[in-house]
Amino acid sequence: MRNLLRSEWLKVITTKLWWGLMLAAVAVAALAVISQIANAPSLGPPGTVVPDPFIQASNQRSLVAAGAAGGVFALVFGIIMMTTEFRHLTSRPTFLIQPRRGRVIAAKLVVAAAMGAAYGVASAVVVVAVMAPWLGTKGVSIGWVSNGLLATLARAAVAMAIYAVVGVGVGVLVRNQLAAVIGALAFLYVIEDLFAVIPLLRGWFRLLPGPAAGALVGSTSPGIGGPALTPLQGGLIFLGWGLALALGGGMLTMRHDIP
Amino acid sequence: MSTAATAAQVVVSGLTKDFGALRAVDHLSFTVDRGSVTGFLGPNGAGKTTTLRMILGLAAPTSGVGTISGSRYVDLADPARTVGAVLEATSFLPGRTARNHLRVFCAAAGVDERRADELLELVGLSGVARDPVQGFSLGMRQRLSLATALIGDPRVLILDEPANGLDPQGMAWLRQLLRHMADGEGRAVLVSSHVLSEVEQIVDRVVILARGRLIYHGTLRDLPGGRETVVLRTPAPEAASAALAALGAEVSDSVDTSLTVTGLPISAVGHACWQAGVEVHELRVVGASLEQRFLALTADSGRPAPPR
Repeated sequence: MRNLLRSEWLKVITTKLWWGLMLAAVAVAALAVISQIANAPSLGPPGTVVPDPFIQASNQRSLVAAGAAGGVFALVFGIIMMTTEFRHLTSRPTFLIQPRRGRVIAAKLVVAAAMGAAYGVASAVVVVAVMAPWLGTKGVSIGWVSNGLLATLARAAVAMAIYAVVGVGVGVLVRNQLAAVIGALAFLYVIEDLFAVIPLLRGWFRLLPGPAAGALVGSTSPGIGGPALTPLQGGLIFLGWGLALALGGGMLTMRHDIP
Repeated sequence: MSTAATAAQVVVSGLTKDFGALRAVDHLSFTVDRGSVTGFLGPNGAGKTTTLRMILGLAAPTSGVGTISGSRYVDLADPARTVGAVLEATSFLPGRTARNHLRVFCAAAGVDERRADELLELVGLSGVARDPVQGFSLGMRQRLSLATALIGDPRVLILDEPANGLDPQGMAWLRQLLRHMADGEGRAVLVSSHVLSEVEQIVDRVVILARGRLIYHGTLRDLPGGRETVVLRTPAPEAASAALAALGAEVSDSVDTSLTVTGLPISAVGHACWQAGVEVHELRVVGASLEQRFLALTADSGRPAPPR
């Protein structure tokens, strides 16, 4: 397993993909913080001296939740990490050297999680670097610990790691790279929203990957189809999606021929 | 029989593969021995690649089994040190350098990374080690594929159409390498080709396939369809006759200065004369040549097998 982990890690760092997607994830996190602070609603009528909205702990937490705003890039990273094997037929040497296919997928899941977490840490650093000085100039004191911001940043990094794991799972199930990426994006941005608006499906909305990830970070608007999930519940459900996809897809890969 | 069993590194037994209604490989059985080069021949679409993919565990047989050193591929304790395979010269990420490509798979095989540099040297790619593979010619990709196959210094080497994209020098180099791997190092080599002449000079035995079925398994010399007969005209028929008989050829009595030789290909007859210092005035094939017999055997095989 050590050999496979090292091999998968080398696969990641010997191409530029991880770097480009990390840059995109970090940029999205920065934009999310900037737009939240810049567009924050005033707490009082114009012209009056009012307290800054970001003195509220909940608003501070919602700012740092931006640490997982670039989750879709971790997801795409995971998808490409898996599907590129089939697209460029590196699946051949990969599965010739390790014919036990489950182990290869397991190694990919671990390396994807590590890289996703790295995306999360990089995003967290940028989030802090933007909000700390900006709120400082407004005279807002930030309760890193007392307001649970560090914990939220950590959960955002975990969410990023799971996004990448889910991506690998999608790639195991759908070997075609383009189909996997488009399918995942359509699910995240269209199908999940349909669950929220179609009454018959509303009850399931909380259990979908996107809302579960939101519950983990604490950024989902609560109450659609039932009470909000706790971060732990959300995290477990989100991870469950990733592992179920990898396992279900893995059972297919076991049977299907390697291109 | 027992010696044959222990020498056999690759054993294919009743291997069959259906793609829907199409039977691509039909109850195929053959063996590849240690220290020998076996040519796996047949026209395009005969089922060669599918067979190799089944032996290598990439494709699941419909029935039958292929084993290497007694195990199915998936059960091999250490696949990289047991088998090296070159399937097609396309298994690369375009943006990854040749050296990094080898490093990735050295790591997977648990082999020290220095092996990557050794292999680049061996296949003559040291100069482009740090170039992305996307700029590589087909021949360079074939060499890198071969290097990948050799990572674990395997006992069995399986190559699918390795001549594709190699220039004549590259082909000569490959022949020499494969021959050395079999003779000098005792490896079992299975090499597929759709062109007999590409492998004719290096194979000990051939497995000929057409429409998924075994047509012939044995030496080229015994290829059915009439043995190759060579007419040799020389001013020194006695010396030529002795040299050729020593190689196991049947030589007819000379008529004037002409000899009729069977049991050796024309190239071997010419070579024997040259080595014996015999002057040659004429050397020609009468009757079916190897290539003609190969084509005759595999003719009418372009069509897929009828659905069952």
